[in-house]
Amino acid sequence: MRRQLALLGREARLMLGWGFLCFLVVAGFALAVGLSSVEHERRTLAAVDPGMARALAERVGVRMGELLMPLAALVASTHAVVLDRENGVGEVVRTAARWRPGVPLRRVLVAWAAFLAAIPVVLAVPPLLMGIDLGLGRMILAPLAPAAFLTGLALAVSAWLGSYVTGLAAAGMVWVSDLMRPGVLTGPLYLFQAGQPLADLNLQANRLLLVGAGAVLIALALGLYDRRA
Amino acid sequence: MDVAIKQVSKLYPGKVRALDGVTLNIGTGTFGLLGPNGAGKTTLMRLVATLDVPTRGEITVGGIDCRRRPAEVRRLLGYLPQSFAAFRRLTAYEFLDYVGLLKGLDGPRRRRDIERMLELVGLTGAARARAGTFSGGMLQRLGIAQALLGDPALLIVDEPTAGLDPEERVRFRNLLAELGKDRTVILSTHIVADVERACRELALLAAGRVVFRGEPSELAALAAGAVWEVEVDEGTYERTRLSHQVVSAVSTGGGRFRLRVVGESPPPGAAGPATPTLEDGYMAVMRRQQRAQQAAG
Repeated sequence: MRRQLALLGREARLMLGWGFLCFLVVAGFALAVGLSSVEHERRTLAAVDPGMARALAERVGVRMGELLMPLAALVASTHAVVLDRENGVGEVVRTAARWRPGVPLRRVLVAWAAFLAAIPVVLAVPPLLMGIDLGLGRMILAPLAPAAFLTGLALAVSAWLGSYVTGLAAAGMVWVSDLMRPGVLTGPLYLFQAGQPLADLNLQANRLLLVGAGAVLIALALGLYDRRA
Repeated sequence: MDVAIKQVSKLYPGKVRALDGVTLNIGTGTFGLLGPNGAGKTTLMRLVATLDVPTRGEITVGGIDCRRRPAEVRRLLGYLPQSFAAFRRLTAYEFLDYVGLLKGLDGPRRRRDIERMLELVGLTGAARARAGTFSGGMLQRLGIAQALLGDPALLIVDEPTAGLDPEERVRFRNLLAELGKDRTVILSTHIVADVERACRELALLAAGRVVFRGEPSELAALAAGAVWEVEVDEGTYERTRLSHQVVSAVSTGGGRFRLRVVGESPPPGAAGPATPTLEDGYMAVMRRQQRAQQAAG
């Protein structure tokens, strides 16, 4: 157990860098900008109906969180399957590791631990600083399923083609597609159902599908890591 | 730790045959795998290190099948790849700690091993320096340290002295010879001197096949009666290059050269026979191989 924890610590050192931290700052800033864009409307509403005002801010928070935070998961985890190769350490790691898929698995776990720890901080700080009272529950849950799917997609493509850039590009393309033409490319795997819902899509089913597909893709990436020389 | 390689072939996409029916039995001691670039040495090393699987044939390490039980084989081996690198953002100590953790070494033993290895390769003073700041020689020493972590019964080192300065190369050879006392060390190289100084036995690979297997002195003996030394002018040197395998050519001034050549007949000029070295034996075998290939196709 202590050895596994020590390994997770080392993987965290390798995986998480300034890029992730910078992205979180940018995401927090973007959320603040989003909230301030409806601030006048929210204040007007707050004078007559505080509940409506709170709901408006939450809707913006959920939408912004669901839009931005999956990208944070991507930034944190895309290197998981190609980190060794990028550093020229692939053969050493693959001959030293007792169970090869354990290497990228630990990295994904570390990346997601950092991502999960970052979500409440990034989403809570801007409203707190702006003096906006809103519930964080939905905001925190909204990005998880799309983040799982995008992470799985990026990892599987990276492992298949041996380059994190292609993985990132594939996930980015899906993200942009859903942003520009909601659900056209992804169908039931539409990414933004919590913040920008499509009328004919059930939220729970959509979230289950996204998480399931993400898990399958992550498992595929781990298998490919073991097989790809 | 015995390594048994039985009729191993490896085909890459595009029908590139990297290995063709290689059979070798390697026991305790330092074993040299010699051959020109592209002979299949690295492919063979990678197969033994469970980084790839043969297209045909079988490899066992200590009786364990590399294809069926690769994880068990990995418990027994340390591997230094041809182009070794380390995570640039980790220090030498952190990198060794990471590899030790991957190898399943527990706390106190891991720390003890890391300190011992750092001392063995002369990197104790650089233990807290980032690997990204290391010179080629320092990186190579870090590479051998990581391969030795956990005291593996089988050590595979692929072109370990490439890029080392002469002093480091000698040190490295001595270290490999020392390590071969109580374990199996497979040293793959195209540098004949490394094998001559460090190995008890060797195999010579050419075009994916084993063309010689034996002791260094036996390989040298294959060139007996076919090694000549002669001093010639520039024009004769050019003619000799076409008819014989020139092992060395030293300018002696005034447009003359002292040549060491391998060939069945004496070269032009006042040539005298010379005592064959391992390098001469290597050149003689490779020359015969080339001729056989030319005759075949």
